[in-house]
Amino acid sequence: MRRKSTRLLSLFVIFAMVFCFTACGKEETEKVEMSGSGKDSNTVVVATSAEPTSLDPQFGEDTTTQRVVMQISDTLIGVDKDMNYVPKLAESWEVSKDGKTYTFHLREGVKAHNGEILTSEDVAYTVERGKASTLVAKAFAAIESVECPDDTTVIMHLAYASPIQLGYLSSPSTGIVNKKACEEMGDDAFGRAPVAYGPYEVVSWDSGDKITLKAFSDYWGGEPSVKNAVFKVYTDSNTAAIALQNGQVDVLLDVSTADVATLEANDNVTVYNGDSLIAFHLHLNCERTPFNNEKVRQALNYAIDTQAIIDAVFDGVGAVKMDSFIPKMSMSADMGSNPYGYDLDKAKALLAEAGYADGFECNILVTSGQQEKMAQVIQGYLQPLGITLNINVYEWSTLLSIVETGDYDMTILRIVAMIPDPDLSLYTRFESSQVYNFSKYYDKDLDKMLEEARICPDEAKRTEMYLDINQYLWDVIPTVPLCFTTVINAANAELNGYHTDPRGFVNVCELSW
Amino acid sequence: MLKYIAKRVLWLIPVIIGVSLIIFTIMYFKPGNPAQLILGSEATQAEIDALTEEMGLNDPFLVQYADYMKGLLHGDLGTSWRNGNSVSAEILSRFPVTLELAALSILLVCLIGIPIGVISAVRQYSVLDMVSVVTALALASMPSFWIGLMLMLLFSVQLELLPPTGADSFINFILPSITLAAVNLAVITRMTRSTMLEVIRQDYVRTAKAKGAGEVRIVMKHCLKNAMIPVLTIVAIQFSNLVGGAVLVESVFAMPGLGTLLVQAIRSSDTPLIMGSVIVLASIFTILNLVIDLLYSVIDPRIKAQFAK
Repeated sequence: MRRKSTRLLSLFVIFAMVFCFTACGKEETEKVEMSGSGKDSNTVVVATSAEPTSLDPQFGEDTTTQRVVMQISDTLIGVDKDMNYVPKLAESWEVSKDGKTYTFHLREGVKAHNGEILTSEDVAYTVERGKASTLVAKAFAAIESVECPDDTTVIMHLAYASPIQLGYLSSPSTGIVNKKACEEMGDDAFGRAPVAYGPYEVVSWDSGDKITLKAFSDYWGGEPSVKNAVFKVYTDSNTAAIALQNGQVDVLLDVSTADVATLEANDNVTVYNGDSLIAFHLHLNCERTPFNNEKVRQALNYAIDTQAIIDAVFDGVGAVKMDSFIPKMSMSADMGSNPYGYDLDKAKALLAEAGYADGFECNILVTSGQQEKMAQVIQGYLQPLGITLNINVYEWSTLLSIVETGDYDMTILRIVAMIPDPDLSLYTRFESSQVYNFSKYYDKDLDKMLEEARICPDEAKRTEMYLDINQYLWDVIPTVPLCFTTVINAANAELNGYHTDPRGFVNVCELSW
Repeated sequence: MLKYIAKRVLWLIPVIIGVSLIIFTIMYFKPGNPAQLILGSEATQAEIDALTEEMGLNDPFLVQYADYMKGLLHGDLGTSWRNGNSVSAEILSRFPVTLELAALSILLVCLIGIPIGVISAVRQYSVLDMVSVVTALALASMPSFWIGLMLMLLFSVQLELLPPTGADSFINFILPSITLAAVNLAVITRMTRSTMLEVIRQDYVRTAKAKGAGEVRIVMKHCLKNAMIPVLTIVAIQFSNLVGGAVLVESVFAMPGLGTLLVQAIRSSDTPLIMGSVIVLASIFTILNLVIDLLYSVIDPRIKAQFAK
């Protein structure tokens, strides 16, 4: 009997030892301390709601990935607060009259993280790499060939005029990589710790937990003030908000609207609210009755009070009304305002004119959470018209397959423009051949206008074209434009230099304590 | 004995085949295209088609399955579709956190639940019995993320005693393990209580009492081991559940664990990662059951005698 209990005891002791070893092992790897960085003026901890898939610039075209990539890899062109193009790795550039030739003059003596100097070879290599990548190919699609007449000159020949190309060249997915390092390391290792020309370099990446960066002392723009940057994953927004108030986190990028009031009341925290490039549309299936009738679509625009949606779903702070199909930050022009507006009588009149005075029954496809809430508000507003809206909630991939079959009446979809260019807020939703044209709106005239605006090299003329498209969309109204969301960030009140970026980014090298 | 262990370990093979086939079939027939999910809502049809082809998603079911199993035979769990990392590396990196969390939680559950269960049984219908039962049930009825958030608000924000998030050192595990323990306490307490009650009613206990043995000696020497067998089974099941299922708590406390990995993989329809995680979890469960069965023989000499035959 004594043997049995000693055996049990020894099992327990082994268990406890293994336990302690795993606990101790973790502690030793913590070199960069994360304790409340207000006390550590060299570190900024950024909370992000998801983890990047890879740090390779040519591998990530989603916001989460680009947020971190932009600290590590500089692009040829940058943008300032107002989304105007400014020089970055390229000191200056010229665009030919026909818009098909771009000449970039690179800065001299720009060092990569491994000490190598930037040459036109690295740019050509990046372009080639990007074109081969299935994920970011569209950022380089227009570029047919790259010429390197000398070390600091890059000439890009485009297959067609593509004004958005400058925009793409300011996006982190075209971040320039160091050719030598990339070839030596191989794509996999490079994706974990890329060698590029940005203000920060990768120290470590704890999968699912955090990415640690340190300032690059030989950065061409001067060593950043913040020496260490940590991007930590917080999937729960409540936890992130608590961490920010506690000082464990210094910048919170995805602030939930429910936390805004609490954070604003906290003296240690400053809440920033700015324009975004994201819009929500209620897509009406224009291939089905009654939505193929323009009057019905107009009636719906008069029937739904979008301010109610903004108040109910976004707590009044997370979204603003849509006065155009194009976000403000994508085009500096007076785009007029929404010709519709909440007017129940007009809605009823139009519906009667269309022959549906008694309303009708229809369904809406949504994902759970935010979209479901929006659908509920809409349901309430359609009731007085006699329209019964059935809300069907599906998981995203299932929803996509239903949309493919076309068996639905309405659905809600948001559109995220990764670059402040009007094309990105229009093309994929309203052009006939697009997968995500959830309104199933097929209009050859609109297609032509969209195609022409895409390749118009004259900036003033291009703006005119988009103003026309905007007006045209208000006339044919294939959707009910619901709202533009806002970018809400929160940061430690002592942090200087912070401002929101419509793309949802933070530029750590601009910050200081 | 060794033959028995070897036989049980060999059972792992049909388990893995069965699990992988079921999961693979489900993922294959699930609506939606993983390539489309990866590319996001601004992709064109051409891009989606290109990536679908590149990922081998157009191949027939058996071809895709055979490819996967071939890799599995070589110990290669494949690469994640979402970020191209090796699946085994991803899972291994989450292991320390998950194991530590699950182990600490189960330890707390046993240390608190079993004694309370024993005392409740010995002092049936006493105040302690009633209070412990009600408390355990109340805790089990509360959502784990709520308990976690409340604990965080109290101990981290108001009292500033413990760190709210992260998995850096042992201190970070205190609140999450308490949260997980609270939710799982009820089952162990109740189970211990009911098995102890059964054992106490046995004749040999009455004999021992008649012999004049003290209460503590009776409980510890005669009753406890017999009552532990069913309880151990439940503990093993709970531990396996915690290894893969502590998603909510991991999310609230921002801990990079296996549960979060699995949920993320499901959201992105990342088949290799889902397959790898589920296979690993199924294997852990199988091996854990084996360990518990062996522990039975340590506790109960009648079971040990079976092996000696």
